[in-house]
Amino acid sequence: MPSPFPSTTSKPGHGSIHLTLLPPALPTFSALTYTYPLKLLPSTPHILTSHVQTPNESDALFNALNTTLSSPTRPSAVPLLFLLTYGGGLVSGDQISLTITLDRSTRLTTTTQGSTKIFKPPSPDGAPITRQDLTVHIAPHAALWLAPDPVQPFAESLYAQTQIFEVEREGSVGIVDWIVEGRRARGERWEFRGWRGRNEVWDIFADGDGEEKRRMLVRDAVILEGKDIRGRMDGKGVFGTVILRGPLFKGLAEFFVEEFKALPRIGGRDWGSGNEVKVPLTRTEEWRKRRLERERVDGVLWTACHVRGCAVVKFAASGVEGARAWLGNILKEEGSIGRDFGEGGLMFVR
Amino acid sequence: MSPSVDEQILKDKIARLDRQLCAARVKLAEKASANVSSYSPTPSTHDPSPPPNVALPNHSLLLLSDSALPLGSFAFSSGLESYLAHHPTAKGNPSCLDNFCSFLALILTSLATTTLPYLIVAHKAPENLQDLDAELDACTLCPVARRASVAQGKALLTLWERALKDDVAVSPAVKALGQFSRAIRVPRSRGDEDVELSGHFAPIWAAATSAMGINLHESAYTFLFNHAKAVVSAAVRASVMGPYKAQGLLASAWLRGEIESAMEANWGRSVEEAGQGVMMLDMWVGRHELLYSRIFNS
Repeated sequence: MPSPFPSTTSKPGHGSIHLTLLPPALPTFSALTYTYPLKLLPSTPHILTSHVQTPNESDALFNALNTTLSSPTRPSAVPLLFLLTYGGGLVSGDQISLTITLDRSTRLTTTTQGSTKIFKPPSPDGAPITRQDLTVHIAPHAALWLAPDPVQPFAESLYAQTQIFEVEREGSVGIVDWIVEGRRARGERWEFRGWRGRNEVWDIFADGDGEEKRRMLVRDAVILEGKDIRGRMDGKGVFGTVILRGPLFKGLAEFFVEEFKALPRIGGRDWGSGNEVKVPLTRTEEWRKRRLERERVDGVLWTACHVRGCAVVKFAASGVEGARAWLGNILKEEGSIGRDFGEGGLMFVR
Repeated sequence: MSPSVDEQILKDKIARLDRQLCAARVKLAEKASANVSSYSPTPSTHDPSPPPNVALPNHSLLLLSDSALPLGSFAFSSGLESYLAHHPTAKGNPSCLDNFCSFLALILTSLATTTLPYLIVAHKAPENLQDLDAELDACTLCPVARRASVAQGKALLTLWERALKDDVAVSPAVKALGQFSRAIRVPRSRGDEDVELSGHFAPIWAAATSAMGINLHESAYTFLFNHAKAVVSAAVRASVMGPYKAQGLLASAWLRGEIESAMEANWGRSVEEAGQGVMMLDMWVGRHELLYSRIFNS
């Protein structure tokens, strides 16, 4: 557990998280430091019960047979960490820089408590940019589920975020990164001055000589600046990306891609005469039918694909509640987030 | 007849002939001056010699901006087909052309934020062609968009190798294209995963135009304009507009302005800062896979 008196020696807005596994399998924060306006708050960890299998049965079998190298130790628990900012948002010029290091076989769930509000600068001229930078290093068999609430840029705000994920082989990372239009209750729709977001997943591996090499797998970057940002949104109020990599997210990635393939064809016609015998739907079909109805009502559009060793899901919805419901519905139906990372990993879609 | 009367008659005759002669001369003069100002279909021997080479149109540019260039660009609608399927009312309604224009503007914005930085760097430093291709591939997360980019890039590379490269002077761009062509044919080995080439369109376009002596501004403008031509052509085939409206749109000051402002807004952007400027396009292009019937590949 972290010290009740976290160190405050770092630079403004800097934070550092280092999770390690003490024998036999006890996750421990060897560093958990932060400075204003960043705040890191650990909450009740998710206890992993022994009947939980590794996500892929064939992998488990393979690992069991392959006794020469250490089979991955499963941690006894998955800590839950809240990434918070004072006042629930960032004012102009706030700069947050956070590093997360996950040692071998550790798992971490991180989330927020409500959307990250980006406030407008006091004067529009020469206002400093508000930014958040996250660098994550994930060791083999370690896993991070980063599931924050959306970023909510207010009118006139200027914001940039960069999230770099270095993932060693057999490491896993799952992130959700989403943005909402502003304060819709005030009629504020995509009225910020600029928004930039960049997510990169890097493959870290040893080459034939045992030397560490790195290769960028995916860079998901968004640049919203210049004229008529609202006109590019086709009436949507929220956009998001889910990026999944590694064995712990294999099942979820497959689920997204298969559900995407199962979406009804656009512009297709129903050739049926309307009096066929009704075939009873399976439970999954029933769930999918209800979800599709909900997607239509909430204006949810989405895509999913496997690309360069990752799975990338893009989604858009009319409003944040529709997006939340859609994402929550899929994550709960698939089930691995709750099982492997705990209910805390689903708080952001409640 | 008195001699004075005869004399008078002769004097009158001379005066009349004088007037006729004068009138004829005036007529002749008028005719001559009219001939000078009117177009003469037969070339005169006094025509100046043809202008020096610098004043002729850029031969390579004309070649690469031709719709008949075998890149298969017209098989791709850049999301237009999917956009129309997502907006069933957008087709055939009075504001159809407006809708199409705003879609075309979004395409250009997106192309300029995601791809233009790679074109610029590849044109300036073609020796980085392979790295730029690998980096652009990591940024192209939508399989449909990737398919379109790689198909056209590989087609241009083949065209370069088989048709364009012969009469071009050696330059870093020529070398880079040669190395790229050889490298992309080598099958990937498992231990060598950091060397992987796809053949994306923009960097190869940049290197080919650079090799053929087309300057960066012209290369970038033509890239965006060719893209607009492909989308407008797709619009004609998708019955959004007729061929005359389509040409009118391509000729318009509006389109020029859109291309120029897209270039201007993104000219200084580094490849690291490149990104999607129109998130809806990821949605439309990605969901092209879900269309019930398709006439385009993207």
